[in-house]
Amino acid sequence: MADQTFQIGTGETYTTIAGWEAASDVSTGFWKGELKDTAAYGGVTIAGVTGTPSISNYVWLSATSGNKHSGLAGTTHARIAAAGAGAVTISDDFTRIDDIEIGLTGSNNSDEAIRITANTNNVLISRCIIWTGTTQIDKDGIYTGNWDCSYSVDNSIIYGFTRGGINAQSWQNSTRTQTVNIDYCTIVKCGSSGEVESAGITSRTGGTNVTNNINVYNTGCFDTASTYDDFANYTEAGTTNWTGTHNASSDASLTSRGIATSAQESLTLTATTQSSGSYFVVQNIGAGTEDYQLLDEAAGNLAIGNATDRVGSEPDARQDFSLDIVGNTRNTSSPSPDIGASDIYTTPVSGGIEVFRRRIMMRNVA
Amino acid sequence: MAVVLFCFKHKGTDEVEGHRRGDPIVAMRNNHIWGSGEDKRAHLALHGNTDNWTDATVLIKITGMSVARATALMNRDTRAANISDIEYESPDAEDRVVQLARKMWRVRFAEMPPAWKSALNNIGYLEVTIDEIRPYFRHRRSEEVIA
Repeated sequence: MADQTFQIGTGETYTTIAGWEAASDVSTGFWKGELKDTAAYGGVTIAGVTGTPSISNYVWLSATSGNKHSGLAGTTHARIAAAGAGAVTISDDFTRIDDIEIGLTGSNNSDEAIRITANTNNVLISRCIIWTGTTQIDKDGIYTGNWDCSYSVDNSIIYGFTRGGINAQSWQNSTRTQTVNIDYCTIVKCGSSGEVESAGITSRTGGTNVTNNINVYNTGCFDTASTYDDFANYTEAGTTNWTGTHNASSDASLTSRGIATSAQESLTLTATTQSSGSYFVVQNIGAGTEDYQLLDEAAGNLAIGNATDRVGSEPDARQDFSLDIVGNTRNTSSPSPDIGASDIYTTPVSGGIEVFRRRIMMRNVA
Repeated sequence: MAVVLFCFKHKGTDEVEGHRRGDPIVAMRNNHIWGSGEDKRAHLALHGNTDNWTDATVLIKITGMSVARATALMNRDTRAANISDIEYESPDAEDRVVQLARKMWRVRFAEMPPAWKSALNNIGYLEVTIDEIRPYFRHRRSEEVIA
């Protein structure tokens, strides 16, 4: 079908992501592909671009403005639906993916929606919906193994993976360092019984020379499989440096990791408006109809106004924390932004209120 | 039948995940309309010339090969004997060795008949049957031809 194409800045069209990737060339500016229809595209390995990627020369996969998702998975927007050990595998530094739904399919064990491979650094994932409905073991949303790497993820919703929503699995006793920057994400219902690294966010350090730096702000993890933590260490040896504030969870792992106060722990994930209490209130938590955007500003929704404004502190210069998952402006003034991928905030009308005065003219009719 | 997009010009990367000359990249059905970045003929129709065509890819229509069969030929060779063709990562949580490797099957453009090579060079497109291309579509290590 001719309309199942996506285009890059040069004006060329590609009908497959794999074909676009095979031609990728970052030697002059960035190489941007935009999914421009509602087709479900196959997976892709982004590797071996021509040129040397940098903060201003990189591979960038996105969606055209009319085909970006609206905050939940579906079939009316641009998306990738693929199986494999990495439905999206990223091996080029500075690769950027935003505004796309990535759904992991297939019946194999040990697959992940996004795999960032060895020695790949400065990857950026923004405003994506990353999910699976499959139930095989060892499924991760974003996976990094026993190697050096670094990436940032923001304003994304991740759910349904049987192991980790985000899994920094540096498990061998080699000299390894991973740095993961997580901001404004909502991670729900990951992990399953018998999966030792089950968690919303997992840091595994398997040896004394392994260091994981997990920097996480304004992120909520909820309803990880029982007995496992929303924010988890799986430490055999080595070090995980957890840094961050203003996160939320449905268990007590926030204070264990030192990345929030107890007031934001033990929240109940619900899709029902609350007038008081400790809740994270979203649109829909039903299986198959998940919508983890915030529902309303009711008093019991502790996601509202409890984040910290990180505009100006973006770990990656390409990030923009003034926007939420669907590109709405976050409330960065009063009271505060909201925790998680979505923000309930109505942008004020510019120009203020225009006041009209009626002039009464008096005239002498005598 | 399938039309397969092949890597025609290696980009010079040493990354094992990157495509090498002859690697199949993606397969679509015969009625698929390829874009100007994939199909040299579409590029020529759009621009009126091939000045900026990179020769990165070519298309081969293979009568007798299904899309599913072609896609299966894009699996990666995780048992490659040559260490440079594998990126060993680590055993996973179940102690299975997880690897990234080059594609298992590839076509040998250099060995193709002159008329075929001429077509691929000139218009980036070729029509063959599965029997015709079989001798040139071989396993990366064993040289076994495709079934």
